[in-house]
Amino acid sequence: MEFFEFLTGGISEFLEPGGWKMAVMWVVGALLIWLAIKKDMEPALLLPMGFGAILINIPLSGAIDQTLAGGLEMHGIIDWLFEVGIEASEAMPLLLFIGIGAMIDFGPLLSNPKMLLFGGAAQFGIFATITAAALIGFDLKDAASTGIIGAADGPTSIMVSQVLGSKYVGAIAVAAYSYMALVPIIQPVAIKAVTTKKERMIRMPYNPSSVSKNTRILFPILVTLIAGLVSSLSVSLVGCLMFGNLIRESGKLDSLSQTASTTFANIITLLLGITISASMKAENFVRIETLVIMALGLLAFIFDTMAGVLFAKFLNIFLPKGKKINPMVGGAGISAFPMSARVIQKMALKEDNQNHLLMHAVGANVAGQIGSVIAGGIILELVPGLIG
Amino acid sequence: MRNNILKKLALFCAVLMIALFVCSFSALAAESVSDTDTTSAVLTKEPRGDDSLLIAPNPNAEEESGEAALSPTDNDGFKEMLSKSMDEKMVTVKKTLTVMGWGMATIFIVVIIIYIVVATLTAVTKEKKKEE
Repeated sequence: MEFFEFLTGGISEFLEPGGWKMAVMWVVGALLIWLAIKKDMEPALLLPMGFGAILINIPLSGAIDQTLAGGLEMHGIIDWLFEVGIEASEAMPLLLFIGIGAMIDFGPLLSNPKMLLFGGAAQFGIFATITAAALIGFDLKDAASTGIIGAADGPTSIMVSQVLGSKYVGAIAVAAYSYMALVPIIQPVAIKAVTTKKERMIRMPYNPSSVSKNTRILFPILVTLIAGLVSSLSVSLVGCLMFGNLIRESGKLDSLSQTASTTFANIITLLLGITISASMKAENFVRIETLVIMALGLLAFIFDTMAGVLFAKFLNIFLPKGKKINPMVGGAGISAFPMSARVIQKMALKEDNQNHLLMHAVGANVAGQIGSVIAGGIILELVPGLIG
Repeated sequence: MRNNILKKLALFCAVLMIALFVCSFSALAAESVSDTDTTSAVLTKEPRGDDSLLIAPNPNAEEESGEAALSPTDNDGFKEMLSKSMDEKMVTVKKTLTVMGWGMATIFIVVIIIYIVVATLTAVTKEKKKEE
């Protein structure tokens, strides 16, 4: 009879104390799949993450490392992908940045470089959330990993939390991607809370100055150099993003640029989604801390948006009449690209159907992409030195 | 126009110098705050040679490597977190405020330098076009 125990091994594992957590993870997985398919929320990531969450939480799942009877060891594909693609080198989130860089047109930012300031201001939410997490009682590395959800940038969140050795990588990844998909719901509420109708109706004429090809080519190289000189650890993040953009702007590597922004980015996204589920094992994920992290992530997005908007209002104090900035544009300084820019455009048109802010918002939005990766690098630079 | 560009370049150099000064200062500050030498350990990272890629499915190995905190039996993490004294929390909060101060300052320095560089590039391009 003992021989047939393999048939019931999974069920007995499930019935052991704590086994119910696996069922909770099936529900979480199903919820992520539902959000991806029915609500169209970041389907490229939430669907693989949802399925992965189910896959690794099946008792004695062969998708993760297991010790078999007789002490034999079996290596699971998901654990292997996690160890090689994320834990050993952070390769997957970084490679994804090459694809993202190849997708981004920095033209609107280059023709209106003032928007760069919003990319800096809207990172405030990251640091405010780190402090809030520390006040709750998280240690510094987990607080910093939670705050980076405010980067509104999945790969940066995954990389920073992984390098800092946070216990909550899975929860942080889920929060980062879920809230990015919820930007159209979160941002309007946050923006309306700190602006008046009159401010939201400020018109900003768009007079694009032509951006030369040389400027477009020099931009990614110079940004990498500047960010690298000031924060050396941001080089891998900024470098991959700017490498992708250089391929795009060179004009000589069209097929590579096309591949990087489509096929390559899709493959990495697919692998990243399923791989990150390795950090969603029931014992790590079904904890009260996960809910707290989700709440703090929401706070980070709200703080980010409000900081961008308030910074625009601050700049308006010094700007002459007719040159004022619509404060909503500041809110696009978070990195959730291009959703945030679209949200601002929609809100502006709702207030005044002749007020087109899209290109300004896109400029602030791509600046947010740069700001968030630099913020990630700076956190990696500062936090380890403060962990006592 | 040429004077304008020179002014921007001078400003750029000044900001770059300030940025380098801030970075060196922040690195020194971070070193002095740290009691342990974790900076170099994390910044350089332990070499992830062949050993790191060896998969260790043995649950005991996980416990040895300090991941025992993730075990299902240890589910009191949140209670522990809440039960930390205010003084303990304030030590961490002070550190986070250091991160916030230096972090935001550095981001703005980087962003302002990039802004000046881009504005200078745009001005140079415009002037070239005019000359043509």
